[in-house]
Amino acid sequence: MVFNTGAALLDAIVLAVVSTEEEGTYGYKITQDVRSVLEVSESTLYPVLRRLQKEAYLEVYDREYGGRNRRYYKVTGVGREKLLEYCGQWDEYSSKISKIFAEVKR
Amino acid sequence: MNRLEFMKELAKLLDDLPREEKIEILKYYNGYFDDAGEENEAAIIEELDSPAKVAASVKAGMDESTADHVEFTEKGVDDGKTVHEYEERKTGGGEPHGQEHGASGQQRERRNGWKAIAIICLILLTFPVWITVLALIAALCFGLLLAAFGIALAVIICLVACFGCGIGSLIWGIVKLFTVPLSGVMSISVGVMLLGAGLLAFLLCTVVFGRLIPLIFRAMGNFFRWLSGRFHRRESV
Repeated sequence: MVFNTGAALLDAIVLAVVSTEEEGTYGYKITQDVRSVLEVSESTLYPVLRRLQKEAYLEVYDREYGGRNRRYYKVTGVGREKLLEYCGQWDEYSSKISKIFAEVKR
Repeated sequence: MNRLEFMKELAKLLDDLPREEKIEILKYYNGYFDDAGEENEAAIIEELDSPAKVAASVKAGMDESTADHVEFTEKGVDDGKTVHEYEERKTGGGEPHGQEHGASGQQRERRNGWKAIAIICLILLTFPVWITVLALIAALCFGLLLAAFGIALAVIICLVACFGCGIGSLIWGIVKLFTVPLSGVMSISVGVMLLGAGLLAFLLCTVVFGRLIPLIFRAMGNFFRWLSGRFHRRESV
């Protein structure tokens, strides 16, 4: 991929990925989901999750899984609002860019 | 390097962070390895690259002030963090902090000033070279434009002349037909021939205006685009 993904876009993608799971989801799965659409290195996601957690867009809880505690991430109410804002902004941004690209003669 | 070694090394590299922060990170990566399963262990260690890279990535992400400027690329986190860190450590805290920052800023400004002067000198010194090149390009463009204009004018004059004379000759022939029939027929035939030549000239006209002139302009446009592209590239290097 030649296009870089900025911090805000990555925040939005992670929020969107987490929001798809009602019960919340865990680090490894989030990373796999994001990496299925975007080339990011595995070390990129922790800082994003941590930041989203600090800004109260994500909340964490531990649940027992396979004899150990697994940390789950879940979108908060504020996080949901933020995500919707991101989605609106993205629609506006991407449709403008797509419009320009659509005018390119191939 | 196996998982245990990786985690030990990472723990050592995170020693300068607050204790709870460090534990959070280690817990996250521990869980990450658990969830990935033993069969993916080697792949993950390879993908994470090195504990140093993970530590740097985490620390860069934690720095609130730089978080907005960080670019996440496939290569990982990339920002000016190392320089930033170095400057902070060098200057230390308190009063001298600001002063030293100001001094280094001034120095940088002065260096930029010298660079600009050097560039101006270079431009002035190479004056004979680039003025020639510039003049050559200008002359070439002017010549091409003139040539295009000349061809267009010639074709138009040819067209007007052929049609004008042809029609004139035709009318003259028809008039003459009643007094000197042979001369009249001759005039009419010349007129028809000239009209034919006029039609050919018209065809030529459409070729010149439809193809040749746009071609010349496009070639010149392409040349300038190419030139400015080269210039911009050199500037950015």
